Amino acid sequence: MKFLVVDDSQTMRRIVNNALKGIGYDDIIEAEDGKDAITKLYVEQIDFVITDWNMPNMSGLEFTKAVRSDEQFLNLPILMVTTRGMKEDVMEALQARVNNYVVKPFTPQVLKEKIEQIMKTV
Amino acid sequence: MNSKNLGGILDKINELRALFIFGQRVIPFLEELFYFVNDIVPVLEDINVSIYESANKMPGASSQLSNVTKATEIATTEILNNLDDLLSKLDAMGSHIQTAMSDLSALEQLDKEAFELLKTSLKGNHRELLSRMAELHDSKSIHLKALRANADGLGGSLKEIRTKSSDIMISLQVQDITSQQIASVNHLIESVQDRLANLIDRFKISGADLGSEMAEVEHDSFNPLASYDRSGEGQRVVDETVRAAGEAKRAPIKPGDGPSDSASQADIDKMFGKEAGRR
Repeated sequence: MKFLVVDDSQTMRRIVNNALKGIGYDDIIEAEDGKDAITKLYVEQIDFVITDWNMPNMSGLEFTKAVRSDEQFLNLPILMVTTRGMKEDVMEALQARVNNYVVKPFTPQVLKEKIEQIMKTV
Repeated sequence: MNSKNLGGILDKINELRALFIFGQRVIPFLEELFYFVNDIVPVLEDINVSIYESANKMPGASSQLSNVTKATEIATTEILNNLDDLLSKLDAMGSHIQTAMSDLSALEQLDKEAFELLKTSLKGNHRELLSRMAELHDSKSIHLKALRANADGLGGSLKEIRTKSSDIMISLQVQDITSQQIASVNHLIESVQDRLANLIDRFKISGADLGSEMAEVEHDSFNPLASYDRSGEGQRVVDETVRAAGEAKRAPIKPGDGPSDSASQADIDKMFGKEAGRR
């Protein structure tokens, strides 16, 4: 399974990357923001997206909406990993059709659970 | 000139007299006002200069904060590099211990086979030698058992170090969270600088130039409410919200409820009512 990790923070990309490797997923590419992610989405065969919300150029929410507006990505699993933990934020993300939501700081265990939950439903 | 005209002139004179009396009373106040304005002008000029200087220092402060973010990111990357290195060495150590343990088991097996071979070859002779060898074998087994126990302990310690390293990695998420808080402060500084620039413009301070422009912080690139909370409470609220949204989505749809693949605003409002407050 190929993952696309989208975060403007190099630290976070690294941490998500390490957590994924710890869980057993080794095929990972990274993007610095929504725009970069969209470019990579059309070039690479991505099976799962993990995206931050607050990013320059294109936020994770805008990215999700853009992705979902293309029919070929309607079922692409998207997990939002962000510092925004308010109910309104979660609802907004769900309306944009992310598959699940993780609030930072997260543990690899939570990341694993959410990935598995998503994979069961898609 | 009749008496009516004279009366009018007297009235005018009285009015003038009243005006002079009023003037006499007002003059000390006007003098005080004059001195006050005289005193306040340099103070206002000082304030103008202070505003100008403060506004001028803001880009520096903002850039310093950005440098803090960059420095912590570099330091965090170094820590992550070291942790990666440490973890790969831990993995190597773990696998060396495993190999050593299976080598020991193989040796033990070889010893056993050699002893059995010797026993068979001696065909019941040299009982004393065989008994001594059996004692030595038992003693060796005790040492091997101790060695295995130590190796297990070592394995446990390695596991613990791995968990602690993983904990450090989780803690390093604080760098992203603080960088968002710093970006938020930078955004605030930027707004204050804009206001001060407007004030300076209105006061038209001679020769005032705000110098270096501040790097604009994109508002959507940070969360001003970002906080480092490892209690798990945040994730609990998120999970509850996701679950509630899932249930709302599965609920029967009434006419006018909107598309079934997304929760309508009415659903959201109904679900949270007024309790949807900020944490």
